[in-house]
Amino acid sequence: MLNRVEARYFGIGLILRIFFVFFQSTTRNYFENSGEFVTPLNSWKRIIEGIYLRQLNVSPFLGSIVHETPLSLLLYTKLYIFKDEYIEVLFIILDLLSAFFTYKAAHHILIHLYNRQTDNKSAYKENSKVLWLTKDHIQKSAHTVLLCAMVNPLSIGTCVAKSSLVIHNLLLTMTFYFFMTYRLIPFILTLCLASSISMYPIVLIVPGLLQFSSNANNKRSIVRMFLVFVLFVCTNVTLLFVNFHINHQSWSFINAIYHFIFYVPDYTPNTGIFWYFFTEMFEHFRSLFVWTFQMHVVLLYLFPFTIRLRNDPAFLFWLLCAIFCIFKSYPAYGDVAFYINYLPIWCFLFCYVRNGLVIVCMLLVAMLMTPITWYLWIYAGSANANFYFAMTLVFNVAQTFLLSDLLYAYLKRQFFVKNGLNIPNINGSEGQVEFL
Amino acid sequence: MPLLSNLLAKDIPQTFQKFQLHVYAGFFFFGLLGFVYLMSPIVSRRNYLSENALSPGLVSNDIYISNEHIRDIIGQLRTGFKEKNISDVIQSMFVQRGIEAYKQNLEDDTNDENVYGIVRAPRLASTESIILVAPLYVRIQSKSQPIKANLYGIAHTLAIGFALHRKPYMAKDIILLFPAQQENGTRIWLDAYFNTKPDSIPLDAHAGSIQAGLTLEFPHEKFYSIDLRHNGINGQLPNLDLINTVVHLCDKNSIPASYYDIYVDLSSNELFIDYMKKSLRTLLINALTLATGVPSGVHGQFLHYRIEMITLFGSLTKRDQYQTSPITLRAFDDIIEGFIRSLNNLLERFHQSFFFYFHINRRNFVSIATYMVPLGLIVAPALIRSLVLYMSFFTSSETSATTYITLGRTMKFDMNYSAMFLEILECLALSYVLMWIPMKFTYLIICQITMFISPILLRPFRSTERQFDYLQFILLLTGSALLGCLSLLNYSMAFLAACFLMPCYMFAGCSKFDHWIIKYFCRFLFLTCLNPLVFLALYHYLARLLMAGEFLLPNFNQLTSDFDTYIASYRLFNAWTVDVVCLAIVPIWFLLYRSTFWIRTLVDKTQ
Repeated sequence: MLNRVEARYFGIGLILRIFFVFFQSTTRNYFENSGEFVTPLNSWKRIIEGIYLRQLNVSPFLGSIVHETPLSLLLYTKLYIFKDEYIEVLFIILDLLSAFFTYKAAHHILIHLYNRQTDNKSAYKENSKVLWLTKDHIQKSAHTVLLCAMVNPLSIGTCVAKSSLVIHNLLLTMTFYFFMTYRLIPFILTLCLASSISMYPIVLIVPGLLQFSSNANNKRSIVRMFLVFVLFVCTNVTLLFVNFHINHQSWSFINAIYHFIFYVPDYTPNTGIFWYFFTEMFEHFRSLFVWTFQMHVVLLYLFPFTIRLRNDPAFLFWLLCAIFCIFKSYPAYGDVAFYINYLPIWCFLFCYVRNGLVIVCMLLVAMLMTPITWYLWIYAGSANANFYFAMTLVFNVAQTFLLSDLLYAYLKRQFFVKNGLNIPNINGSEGQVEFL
Repeated sequence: MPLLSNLLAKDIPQTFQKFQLHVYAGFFFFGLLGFVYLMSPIVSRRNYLSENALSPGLVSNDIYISNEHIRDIIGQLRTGFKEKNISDVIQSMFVQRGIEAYKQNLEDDTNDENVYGIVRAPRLASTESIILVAPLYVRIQSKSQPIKANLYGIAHTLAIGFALHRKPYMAKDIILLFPAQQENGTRIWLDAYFNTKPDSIPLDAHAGSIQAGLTLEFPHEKFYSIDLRHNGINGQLPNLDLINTVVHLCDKNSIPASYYDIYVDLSSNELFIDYMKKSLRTLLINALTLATGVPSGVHGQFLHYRIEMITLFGSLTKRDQYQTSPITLRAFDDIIEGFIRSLNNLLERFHQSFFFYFHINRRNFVSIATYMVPLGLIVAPALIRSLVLYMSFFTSSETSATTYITLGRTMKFDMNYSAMFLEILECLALSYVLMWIPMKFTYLIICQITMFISPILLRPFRSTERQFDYLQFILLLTGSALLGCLSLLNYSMAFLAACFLMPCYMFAGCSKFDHWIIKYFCRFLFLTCLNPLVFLALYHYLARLLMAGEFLLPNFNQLTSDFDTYIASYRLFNAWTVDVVCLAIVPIWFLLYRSTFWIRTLVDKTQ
């Protein structure tokens, strides 16, 4: 099933995870308690609390402890029969599985890109050959994706912290995989499950509509689009009712999950931008800004990107994932890890990424300084919340730079492939290409 | 806005390319000079009380403690020390006056006990408290007798506690703590008080949340000046307001206060040159001692729990030729009373004034905004060099007469990461393995020798020139990130590490030139001047010179014994200096050293 390279990479990932989970208890404690890896939405401690409340026949959704859906809580209750030591093994397995799906999805994306290039070759200019994808590139990039998922410290940290993001990411990765392999029913099912847990993946139905509405001759039909959408809505409603029934016919989970995600009542510092902004703001402006922030994540980029990238559903899917992973209300490093792991797919765009050094340095500085500013703020008492927030801001700005740069690079490459690499010489220097 | 998007090798001015080394060296030396310049009165700021609530306590006193009373207490304590039941004596003294007092066994074979009493505030429920600490025994700088009973300190702490009992204005509890075994006892008490260790037995009684406090170390019957000690764990410092309160109180009562036993007379009697010399000495000792990460008294343990605290040490040194009589009891008690009543007024935790500062004398300090500049200048060459290297990696287009063929930013060469990765892994593994052996100076020398001969035993890094540059680029970025992070945690350590690493970077970079003389010269430098152990020895010698204030000869035995005591004690303090050095600084140095053995291959084999 696995060839040599894959097996080697899996081995590296497995060894690293086992080392950190079982042999480094201080590091593990650090990860389990750090606000960058664990948020109220995905903390394992809260899930255990929920399981106990459930077993005592107390509604876990009273109070503000548990923010999992009744369905996932049921699943965790079933899993919790494994005792404490084995639950870590389970997390490692799930993380590796998620890495495997990431690898497979990446492979399919690359093959898809390559096939499209072969189809459209007649329209490409001959001298843009350096930019074309090669067969060799597919395998190499896919392997890099696998290696990245295996050694990415953010992924490892999420796994070690036993954050339920491991499971969310697995669902989302499976969604991506089924999306690339044109399997409608599994796609809709995993997408609905993922969005019932964390709400934001709901935007991914838009690339889904584009992908599944096209027929064999690459023509989109409105009817199919409508049917897919109806299927999506029906599955979501069914899931809601399943949750309702599991929760002893009570809607209390809506408040604990969707209200909690949308209105951001919890200000525990994390890597996002919501907590600081809303601690600083007067209460009477809250609704306005909550809506502004949430619409910014969900709607602002959705339509422009969909219109511009309507023929590149894979890139669109990835871009939308990245956007809600950055701007969601309770982001953690695990979310970043989810989309960063796919980054090597787009390595053919790196030559047009303009701020590479700046982005890498900003990410590096932010990730190193976040725990330090946290230490200075919480333990030493010599710094304050602004220091910590400054670092999370740097982290988010770096990510937005990365996304905008990649989008720019993607469009620029498309332009060059179609129009050739020659640039007119204007007054002795190369003419500048504007954003198209 | 494309940041740095068009930066390519051709954009670097030719003159800069030619004078690169000069520019870097210039930055480095300006940084060093800048650090020394911090002592000048132009950059330092005069200190002030930022928190208004602290000032009223400086005004008047109403406690009078008679000499007889103190003498009586000292007499009882003396018998207690003699009969080895000091903790019982202190407890019974508390109980006699109706103050609750408890003992805590240290749970080791010595059977030593911590004693603490709580003077409850009559005005409020126990929500906040102040702590006075007097260790039972104090370290003193004398060869014959390393520790001495803290008679005078304990007596005054007790007397103040008794006097403030049932005073109507007290709004905060006062905890009087007498820890045995200095830092060890303090740490055990704190662990139990805050219940941080799961296996520690909880204490019998608690007071309100502890705001701040004072440690009194007065082993001698009389003293002529007070030495303020403020170094905390890992370069942490107490809030400047707390220190300023004490300094103000000392000045008000005409008690000379010094740092590191260096007293600066701030009246115009002192020559300017003497003032500068003393300021520089204070500044340098400050940096050198903070870098170790080891606190200068039991207060360091409290800083770890966010309890602002400094140690007052009664020194026998006379600060003035006209000072004939020791400090009076009255003046000393006024300081403690003023301090407690200032803190009693405090409404919030200390948060207003500085946490990051360097003292140059008791009235002047340098704040973080100023002292970061010299470090920035020292580290700047690393950043500039990494940018220059980065720019040289890329090309953007192929030019013909009429048109450009744009390729975006493509790397000029194929990077072979595995060789570089292997080299880094080798160095990390080797330095970590060598760090596992017990930390003794003699063992460290063996470590060093192993590291030095490792390029002969293991295959050195082979690559093309470009890949060598790439490795340097990564090392430069890692180094500057490390120094940046350290500078916030422990500036002094970051500064010393920068002084050591930057020349290493420069000579490792120079080994790129193919001439054999240059190569051997670089290796020779790494063996001698740029050797961590030599740096450590230099550091130790400089610290001794500055502490003594007179010329001394280097003493190797002193170095080894000091190092061994440091290693033995530093775990107790929760310090991480040695960990950072072993896990980060030594591996970087080792990688740089090994890169002087780099072998140039014209074409990469894997291609």
